Amino acid sequence: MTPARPRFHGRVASLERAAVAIGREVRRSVLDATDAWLRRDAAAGSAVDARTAGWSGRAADLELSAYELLATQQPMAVDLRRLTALVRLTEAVSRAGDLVAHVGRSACFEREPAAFGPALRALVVEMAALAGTLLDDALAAYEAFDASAAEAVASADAELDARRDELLATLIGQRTGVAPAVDLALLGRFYERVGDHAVDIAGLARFVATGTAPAGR
Amino acid sequence: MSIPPRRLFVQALDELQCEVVQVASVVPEALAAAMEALLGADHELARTVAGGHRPVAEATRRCEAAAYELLARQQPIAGDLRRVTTVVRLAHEVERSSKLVRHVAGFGTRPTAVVGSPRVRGLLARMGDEARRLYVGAIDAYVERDLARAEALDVWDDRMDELHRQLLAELFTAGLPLETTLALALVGRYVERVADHAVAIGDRVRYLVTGQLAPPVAPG
Repeated sequence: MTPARPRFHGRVASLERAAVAIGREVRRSVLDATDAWLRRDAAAGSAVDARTAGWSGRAADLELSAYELLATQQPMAVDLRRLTALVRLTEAVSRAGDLVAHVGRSACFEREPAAFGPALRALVVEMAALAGTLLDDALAAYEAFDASAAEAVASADAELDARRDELLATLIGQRTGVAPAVDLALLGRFYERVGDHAVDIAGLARFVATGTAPAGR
Repeated sequence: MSIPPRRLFVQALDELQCEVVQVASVVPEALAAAMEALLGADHELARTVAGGHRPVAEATRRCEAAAYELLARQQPIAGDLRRVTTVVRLAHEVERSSKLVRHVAGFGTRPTAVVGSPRVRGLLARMGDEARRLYVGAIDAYVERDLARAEALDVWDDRMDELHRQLLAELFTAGLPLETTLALALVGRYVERVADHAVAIGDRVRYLVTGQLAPPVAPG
């Protein structure tokens, strides 16, 4: 083997680590954003939003580096898959970050605090926790290119989707005020999307490991 | 007599670009049809639109695969490299947008017609129209490699955000059944997201033309 390959692999690995690191920062901010949202704490919400500022730029830089490696190193087979998966990973963590930023910003909207009861609050906390766990598992799967995790992440995501349906049903049943109900319905959508990104990330891990293209969604 | 490889590459790239434009152009049309189906309670049209997502998703995956094959085989550099990688990202944006349109159409297939008040319906129709125009504008900017046009999409998108705010404010006071209110709030969100994808396509045009991916970060 020529010395060029180890150097290539070292560069790919460092780009992957950097992308996963963004994903972990996103993950840590999911709960903070949720907490700010539930407490209607504008300062905390803005702080989360500010924290997200660098993510998309960093992800974009990683994406360009991946293209550069693609073009100059002519990778084949698993190496090619690692780079194409990396492009999708940067996209997924960046978009998940946008969602968290949005939750942080929504915490600043003027609304009655405690406009909804403990059952709904508990459901929100549960969804945030699930979304965070999904991201954790997906990022760990990506680091290990663990093909077996994809299925587990997808079924945990089905759980999150079920919680979201439960949220909508509870909202309609409880005659919550209109504005808080709409806020909560949209919030539920954000967690659902974070979960989707986690499923995509786990699917990419499987794609790298096995060459099986991620299922169309 | 053989054709020079460079010419073959450019030809393949042109064809690929045509394909991605073709599939992208389905999105604004499908969105218009989805809104028409939703507001006109036309279940059959809604089902047709929803069924249109799969072929779009398949076409985007073919574009993506073809782009990677070109990358691996041709090792393009500079502007050629940007053209190929832009196809990859455009394919992703189109796939996501099409999925959102399918969500909108999904509300139109519900047995209870999602009707809303005249003002809510008017706002939704305007949002759908704006999103469609933004998307067409983004595709045109891509085809023409028109940087000014791509950057104008941002301003346009601000109008979209304003319409979305108006929609939510209207929904808060319209006194519609809560189930309808929530459905229409989500439809508004999906339409707004389609517009965001149009802006993202504009960002890709900037990259294609200038090599710069992100705009200068605004302070604050």
